[in-house]
Amino acid sequence: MTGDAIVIGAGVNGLVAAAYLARAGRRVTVLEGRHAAGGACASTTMGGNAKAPGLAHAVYALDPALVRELGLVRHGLAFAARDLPLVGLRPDGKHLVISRDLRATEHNLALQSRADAKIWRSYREGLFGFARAMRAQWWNDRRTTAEDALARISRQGTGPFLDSWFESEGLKATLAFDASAASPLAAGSALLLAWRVAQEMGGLQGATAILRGGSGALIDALLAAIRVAGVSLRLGGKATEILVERGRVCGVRLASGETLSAPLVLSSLDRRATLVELARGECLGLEEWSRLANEKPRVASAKIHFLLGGMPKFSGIAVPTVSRFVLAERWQTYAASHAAARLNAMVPEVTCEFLLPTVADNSLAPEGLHIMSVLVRPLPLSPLQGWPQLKADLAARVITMAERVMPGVARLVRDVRVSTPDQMGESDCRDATVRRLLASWNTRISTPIAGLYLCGASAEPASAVSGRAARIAAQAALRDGELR
Amino acid sequence: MTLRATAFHARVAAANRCNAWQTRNGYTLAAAYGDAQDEVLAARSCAALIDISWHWRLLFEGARAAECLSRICTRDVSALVPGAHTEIAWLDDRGLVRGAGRVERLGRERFRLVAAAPDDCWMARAAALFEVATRDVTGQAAGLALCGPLAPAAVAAAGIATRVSAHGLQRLVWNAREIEILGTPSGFEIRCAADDALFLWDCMVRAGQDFALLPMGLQAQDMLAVGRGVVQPGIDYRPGQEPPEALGLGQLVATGHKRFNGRSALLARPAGPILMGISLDSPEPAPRAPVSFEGRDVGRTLSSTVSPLLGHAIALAKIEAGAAVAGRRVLVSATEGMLTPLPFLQDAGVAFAEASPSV
Repeated sequence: MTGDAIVIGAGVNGLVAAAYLARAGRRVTVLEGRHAAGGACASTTMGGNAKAPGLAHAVYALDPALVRELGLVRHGLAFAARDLPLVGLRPDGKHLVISRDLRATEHNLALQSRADAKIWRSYREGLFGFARAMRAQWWNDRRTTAEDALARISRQGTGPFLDSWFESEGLKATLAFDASAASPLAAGSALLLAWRVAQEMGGLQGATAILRGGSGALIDALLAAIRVAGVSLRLGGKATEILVERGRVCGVRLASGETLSAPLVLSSLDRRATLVELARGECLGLEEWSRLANEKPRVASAKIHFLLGGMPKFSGIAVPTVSRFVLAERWQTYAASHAAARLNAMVPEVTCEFLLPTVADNSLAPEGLHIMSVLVRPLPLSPLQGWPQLKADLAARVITMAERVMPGVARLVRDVRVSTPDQMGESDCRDATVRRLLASWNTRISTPIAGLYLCGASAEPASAVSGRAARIAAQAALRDGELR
Repeated sequence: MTLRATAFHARVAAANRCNAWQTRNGYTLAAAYGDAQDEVLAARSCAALIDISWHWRLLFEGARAAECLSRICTRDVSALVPGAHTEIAWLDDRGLVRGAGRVERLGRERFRLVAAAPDDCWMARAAALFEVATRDVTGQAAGLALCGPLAPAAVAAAGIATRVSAHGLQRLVWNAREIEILGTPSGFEIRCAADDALFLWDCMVRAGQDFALLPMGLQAQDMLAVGRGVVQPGIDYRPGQEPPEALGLGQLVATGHKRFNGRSALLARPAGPILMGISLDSPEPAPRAPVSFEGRDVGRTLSSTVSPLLGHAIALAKIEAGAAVAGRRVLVSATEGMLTPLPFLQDAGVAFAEASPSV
């Protein structure tokens, strides 16, 4: 079978790439190894008919350009909540509620530290301003105008950066979670904070949103978009080899042995899986090949869904329930956990971000039931005891932590589903690095094989549900097609 | 680092009248046995005997060994028949030289790489990508090189009946000992088990008496290398710094071979400096000195030595492509000299018996 382009993977990025290519008149086939599209955004059901979000329980980096250009709102995409406050839950009940309302945030921060409350406005304006300047780098392929600030911040770790602003441990630990894909002591990890607030959701800079219908709603909208564009989607069509002839991609071989021919292939897998496992090192320099082949992600995350039989009650001061909650002691805990996870040891303290999506969107679960969706990181990718043994222990640790700020929550748990790092796919576990954050788009999406592009989350400056890499890779592939 | 002695050390020490030693690749080697210039003249006009046991030798074994080495080497070694060898270079991903040497095909799935400087880790990492095993066999055999126009006669006088060609390799039994003999453009290389090394040395010295054979030390070898226009790793270059043309290794890059590592980067590279010779007007060598033409720096010398045959100093130099014109007068530090094509002198040549390579 022949076509104009093949896209490997039917996650958000694969579907976005396919939609762009098909809208430009190309005959596109999307190959998905599993029997359902969605990847990290595919929803799961719990307790009969409660819908739990996929690995990505909130969206904060979805490319506004693609939402507009692919008409996703027309295809049913809507927000259940579009600007979640960030809530740092403290065992003493003096929770930190960080919202877009500066006065309310200052008032709340003053409960922990007057100095932090006083400086909050400057911190926020400085970081948001820097992040806006960095959009040239992170949204398009242009140089930033914030050279001086970039040179300074790209040498700073998140921990020391936050130390230079604030004194309260709770605030620093809460803010540091957004950069916890890298160790807070890693040079340049502070850039992750800026990258996060450079994003926008629904026109609001640095916002975090929940989609109506769960993360799977994004997939549904994209599936509708590709259907309209005439893309052919093959579920259960696992790609096993990318075929290359004289330095140029010419097709894909499937696990069934079938061969699909196309002059363009876009892969949503990461660079290693694409170039080493599928393209078998073709056209790669031996040094890069060896580096990729031996590269192993060392720090990972886990996702735990708790089905609750009622709404949990928070201790201490009142907090908005449609929020993004962070459970963390101090940023130094992240550093210690990163160090332990790198050695494949179980971390001393886990840190969690959790949401109660059913509060914002009551269509997700039957009345009275709630889903608590928890992201836990950093964790070792393959601890010595093995994840099957540690799975139950991890869920117990998380619920014990939650019990400290939500007394009685353990009694509400009706069902637990744990997705451990070994089940989550390696591409989501790569360390964020300054090099990756500052690499040009061309470096991230292009490969040494002509006609082969990377369009997945690993081609983004930092892993997130964005689709921007897919949009840019599809545009580059279309230019490539025109040049030939 | 512990210095090692080669299997010939007892004989080398006895022949080393000046007690002059040098270290290379971790081995203690004779710098000169007597007068280095005499040794050069012997190699040019008669025959010379060289202990080459210190050369790095790496064995590649595996079903994909041919594919692996073809990807590593600048020539397609998969086209070699067993019992043949070829000179190669290997480049990094950026198209810069990591090393140069020779690949010998020992069997269908067995190759040996021989080079003057080791690159173990890089090779092991590259070989692992093809599930090919590598094994350093440097210390496992003793090696002697015989060079010079009378080398074939000396080999024949030692009773080694070989019909090996200049690109061939032959294994044979000699005096109830297994030896391996290779033809090279300048003579022969003979390898044997370490236990047989002293016997081989004695036989070759005895057989060479009628042909004015002299043992040759590292100083004389370095002089000959400059005269031949051959750069040496660790002395003239370090891995990953220069493209092949800048080291005079351009002829080792087979442009028709499409798959070698660093090819696309090499082809994309703009023309850079090339290796030239400089005949200096003085007898004083000028290593690692700036070269200028009409007041402008156009390059830098690498190794430099006195040539006993030419009677003045000579140097290898990296010269900007635009300025590399043979016959052009240049200034090397404060000494005048003339750009000269390489090699300075053609080898006298060795007449091989015609034969096809075999193992």
